[in-house]
Amino acid sequence: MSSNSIEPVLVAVIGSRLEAITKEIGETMLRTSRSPIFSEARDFVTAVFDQDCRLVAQTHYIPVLAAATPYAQRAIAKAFEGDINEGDVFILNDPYGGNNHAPDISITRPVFLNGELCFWAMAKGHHADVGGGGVAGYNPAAHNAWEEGLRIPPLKLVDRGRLRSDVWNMILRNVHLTFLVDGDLQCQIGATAIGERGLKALLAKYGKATLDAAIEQLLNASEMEVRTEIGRIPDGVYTAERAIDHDGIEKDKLVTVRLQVTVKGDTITFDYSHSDPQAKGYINSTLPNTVSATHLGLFASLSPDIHYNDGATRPIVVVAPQGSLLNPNEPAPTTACTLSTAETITETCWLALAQAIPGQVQAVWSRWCAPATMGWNPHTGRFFADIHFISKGGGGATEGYDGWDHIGTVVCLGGLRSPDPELHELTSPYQLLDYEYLPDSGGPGRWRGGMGVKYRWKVLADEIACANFGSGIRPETAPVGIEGGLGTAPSRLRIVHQDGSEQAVDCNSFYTLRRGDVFEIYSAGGGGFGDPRKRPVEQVLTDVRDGLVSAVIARDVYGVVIDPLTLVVDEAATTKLRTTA
Amino acid sequence: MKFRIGIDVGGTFTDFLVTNEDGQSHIFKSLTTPRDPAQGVFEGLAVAAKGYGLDLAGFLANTTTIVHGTTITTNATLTGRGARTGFITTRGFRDILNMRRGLRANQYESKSSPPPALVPRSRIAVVSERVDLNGNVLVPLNEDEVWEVARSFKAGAVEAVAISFLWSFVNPAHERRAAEIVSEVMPNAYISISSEVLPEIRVYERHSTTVLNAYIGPPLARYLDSLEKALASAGFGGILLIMQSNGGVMSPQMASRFAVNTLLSGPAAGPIAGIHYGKIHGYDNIITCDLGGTSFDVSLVRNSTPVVTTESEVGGYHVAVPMLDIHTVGAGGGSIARVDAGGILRVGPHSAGADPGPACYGNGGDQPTTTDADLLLGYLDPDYFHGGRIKLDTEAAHRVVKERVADPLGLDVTAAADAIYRLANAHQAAAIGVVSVRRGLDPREFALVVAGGAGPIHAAPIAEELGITTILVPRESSVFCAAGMLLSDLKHDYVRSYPVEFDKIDMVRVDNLYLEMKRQAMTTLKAEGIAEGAISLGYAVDLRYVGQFNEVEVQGLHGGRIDREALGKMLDGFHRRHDELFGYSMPGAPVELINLRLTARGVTKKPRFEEMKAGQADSAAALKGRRPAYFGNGFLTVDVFEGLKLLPGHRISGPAIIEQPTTTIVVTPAFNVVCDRYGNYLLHAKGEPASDVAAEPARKETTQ
Repeated sequence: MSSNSIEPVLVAVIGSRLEAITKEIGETMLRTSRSPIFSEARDFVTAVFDQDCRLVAQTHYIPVLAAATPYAQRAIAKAFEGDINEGDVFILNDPYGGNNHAPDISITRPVFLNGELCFWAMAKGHHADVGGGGVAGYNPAAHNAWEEGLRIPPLKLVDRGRLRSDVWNMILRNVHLTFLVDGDLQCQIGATAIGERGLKALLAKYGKATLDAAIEQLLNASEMEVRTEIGRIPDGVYTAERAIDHDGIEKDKLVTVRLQVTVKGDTITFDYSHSDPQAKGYINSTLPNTVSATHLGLFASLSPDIHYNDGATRPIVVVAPQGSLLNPNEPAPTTACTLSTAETITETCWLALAQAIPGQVQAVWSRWCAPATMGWNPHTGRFFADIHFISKGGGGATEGYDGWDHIGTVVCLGGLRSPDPELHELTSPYQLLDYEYLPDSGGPGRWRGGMGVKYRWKVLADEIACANFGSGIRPETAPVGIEGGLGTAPSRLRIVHQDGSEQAVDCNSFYTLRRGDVFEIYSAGGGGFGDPRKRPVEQVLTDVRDGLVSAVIARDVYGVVIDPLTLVVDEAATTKLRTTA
Repeated sequence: MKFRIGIDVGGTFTDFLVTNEDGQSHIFKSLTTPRDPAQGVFEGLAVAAKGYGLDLAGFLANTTTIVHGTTITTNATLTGRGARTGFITTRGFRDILNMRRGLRANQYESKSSPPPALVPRSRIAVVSERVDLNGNVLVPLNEDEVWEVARSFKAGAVEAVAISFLWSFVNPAHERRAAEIVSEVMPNAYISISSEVLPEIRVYERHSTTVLNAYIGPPLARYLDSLEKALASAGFGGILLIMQSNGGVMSPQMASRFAVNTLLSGPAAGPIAGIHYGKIHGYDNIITCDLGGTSFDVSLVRNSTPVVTTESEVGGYHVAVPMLDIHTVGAGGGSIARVDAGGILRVGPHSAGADPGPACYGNGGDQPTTTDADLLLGYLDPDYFHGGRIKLDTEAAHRVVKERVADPLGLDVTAAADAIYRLANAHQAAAIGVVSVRRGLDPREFALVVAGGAGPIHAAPIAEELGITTILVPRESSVFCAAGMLLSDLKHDYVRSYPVEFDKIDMVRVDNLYLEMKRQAMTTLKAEGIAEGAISLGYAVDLRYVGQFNEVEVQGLHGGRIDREALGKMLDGFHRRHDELFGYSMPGAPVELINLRLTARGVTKKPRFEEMKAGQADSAAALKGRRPAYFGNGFLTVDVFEGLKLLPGHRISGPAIIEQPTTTIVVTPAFNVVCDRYGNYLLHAKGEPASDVAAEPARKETTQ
């Protein structure tokens, strides 16, 4: 078929409609999910694929899921080739079967016109529980994929419109939080039905041939847009490396991601060949996750107007050798890859690109380091599970803009909504003690990094299982600045027991919380951009007045002398400080 | 002669709709005076008085009711010119307001900042106090700290103080005591406390609403106070009512105290007007849309009841009081068209705004916009824009469309303009689709009611795209909102959060909470001059399945007491509504109650609108001329009608154009138009059964 056979406006109109359909799927998920991970944290992605499983349109509420959907879609279509029927709904979560990591369950529904497969509508999201030995899906002690939870290969969950209760029951029998998983699977199935409705209306209106032609043009156009943007990056080879604190098993060993970016004309290659070998613990990154985190790093540094689809990804090559940290062999454990490893990958992308296009890149964001907790809540008479999103740290600064405060891990790029403290106290046996900005946590710079938070809570129940996961609690793994901007102190965590004794909290480790314990998180801010001594005095004064920057840091790092009592700038001393190196 | 006046202050014009006892209505307009809107109001009143051959005093002395939609609070919010506000909250939780739940909605827009803080951190004070989820005091209020904060606010020239503590909706004692102390230190300060403004669970949303109320309260109170005085001294002895965001009206005193309820004061009248016009033809399900220069606002109305939301944002600031669900889904007539690096045409989201505006305005705009396309396609008459008051520059429109869209796409200018027009319509239609899905509704079951301005230029293709077969353009579409204001009742919403699992509900507590709300409602409405017999109460509860994080509002029986049986019926209603909205329900699964709601309505006297007389002349008498306009694949020379000369029963078959001084209606070939007995235009898709009843002269009994 000629791809030039339809008029330009129709291409744009169909593109607009396809994106709206992915939003409609997402709206349905937001409104119907039972676990706060979908509805509050928006940890999901919605997508439409064509009959060849090419990504046509996507709304990624959480960017690190972005590039992972086509792998899952292709795995499902391949497994059921010849047995895909109208009314079917498929499920997959196996990290070695095309998925990124086990908690993200992919649900996809084929869409037919007159018996011909035309599209797929997918809703993929992070479930509160997939079984296994961890807490809410996170098992820092896992040595292999089986210890991380149920592995679901491509399966039919609904067969020609009939729910397969045998499969459904088998899944629910393998999780602790049956209530949440049950509701969220229904929510995903319902959301793909909304996608099917929109796609069928589109097919009825334009016919398959016109849609195919329009999609071909949309994909090519996105490819062209990305090539244009890459063409503006100076040709060259750029390298960077960043480390993860440890893998949960070998706790004295930093694990390093090493990246070499090669820009040549309108193509770009991200080569991770020199990264560390496969780890023993759960930080191994499946290829879909490695590609996703790379795309996140690149697309966050290009025009925000680019439409992410199959075409947009064509000029990008990602190299990660089989058997390495970033493309592990089965059955290496992988759960933490969408956080710690993805963060580390994105950081290397930005630090490498900063050498070529510094003005487009952000400084490093605060990493995730907080627990999942699970147990019995005597106040509600129910089991609860909680991922402590309230701890979210600060974002990195970029040229012209301070980093965003309390925006969270970079893998969500600001899409992770913090839970409401009152609803939190209602569902979990916790009393919040502090939840506010942590002074001096933002990395100093001409543009300052965003603020991290001080988050403390008191435990009001016994025997709460706690898996602390993440990274960024060592000086080597804390956020760094770019273009002369400074980094930040690492995040800090500890437990203060009722008797006053203190217990240091390491990342990727288990703890048990008891009544009266106080858990404390001091999350890092983001890295700064540019020389802090070039930050306008007025802005430094405002930060000091607001209590975000101390007078000591203002003087020692920003070179602005402010009387801490009167909050008046000593102009002469400031000029002197700022002119001497 | 007794007059009722609806006054809507818009961006450019202040609109007046005046009705008299005989049901005749007249439209007047004055230029909006942004610095002091009262000036434009009085200028318009003077013009209206003159129109009736009266002086201002005589006109106002004969006016029983003025309903006023104001933009004071919206403007203060959008321009950052609210009161100097201080905020007091619970120690340990200083930043929840400005954290904004740590969200960056446009994740890939790294070059961006959150909207400026309404209260800078230096004016957010924390005091020791803490209440738990059951209302128990964990930490008593440290009054010394409150005294100290109040003194420092006073020293810092703070005008308004917001107070919002954790769990204050369960136990408001600390907030009330803190407010007492503050008012003692600062007797002239505007004080806004969360347990009064929004006694509802969710800290950030409650903070934001309470702080916004404080921020915009003083300017609104000042404006209303001076307006009331000026009206009184000009001879007005009737009732002044203020339009609220929830589609009802309230007294100026209540508006001053709960200023946050006026953020949509103007636009909220739109759906109310839409309901009125829809009812004439028996349409209960309508979508109202209003396409302005910088925004495209859409609202869904189901069963003649507007959809209400508690999740609105104004200028990026969260407002959780109930507001009509009006979505701004696009950039309006100023949406910029461009061709991206991949060769794909894009329209919006960037807008040329009001200044410089579209290229054809001749104010230096060098980007092609939707309005430029409208002009090039012959839909707009360059010499009759705003009745000829603004002359459009066709050459400028041609130049920018050629340079920035036609040449890059290899199209001629007309085809490029058509592409812009169609893509803009597709975007608006897609956005309406997403809004519908969010509410679990199917747009095909709705009629489109279109407000004035540019809306009727785009309405027909938008309807076609959505599968909507009926469009209604009111004759008064240019003063659509002013009309809606005259049709609104007094309305107050009350909420109490009582989070509890459904089978553990304590009916005594439910009774007490409803009693408290009812008492408040009766007191307020009586103070607003409503007789007990004219008050109606609507009960509703917010329910959800245990573990969900979004509630579904379920209406109860009107007027009735909420007992266990009524709650049981509401539970059934919840499962049904959940299924309707989201495609599934889980009867048998545990459900929890979150909020109890009460809506109190004081029914006001409504104006009667007189029917037009069907004349002898046929529609040819309204024919103004013919001009080429683009339909389908090329220019057709179509009839252009003078709208104000069209009479009830007149029928026009598309393609055609109907012009009124401030409204142009593009009738595409897919539609027919009939002028109904009030002079409204009813467009129905050809081949669909037309609702002609309203076009017939009314039967006698309906006019009584």
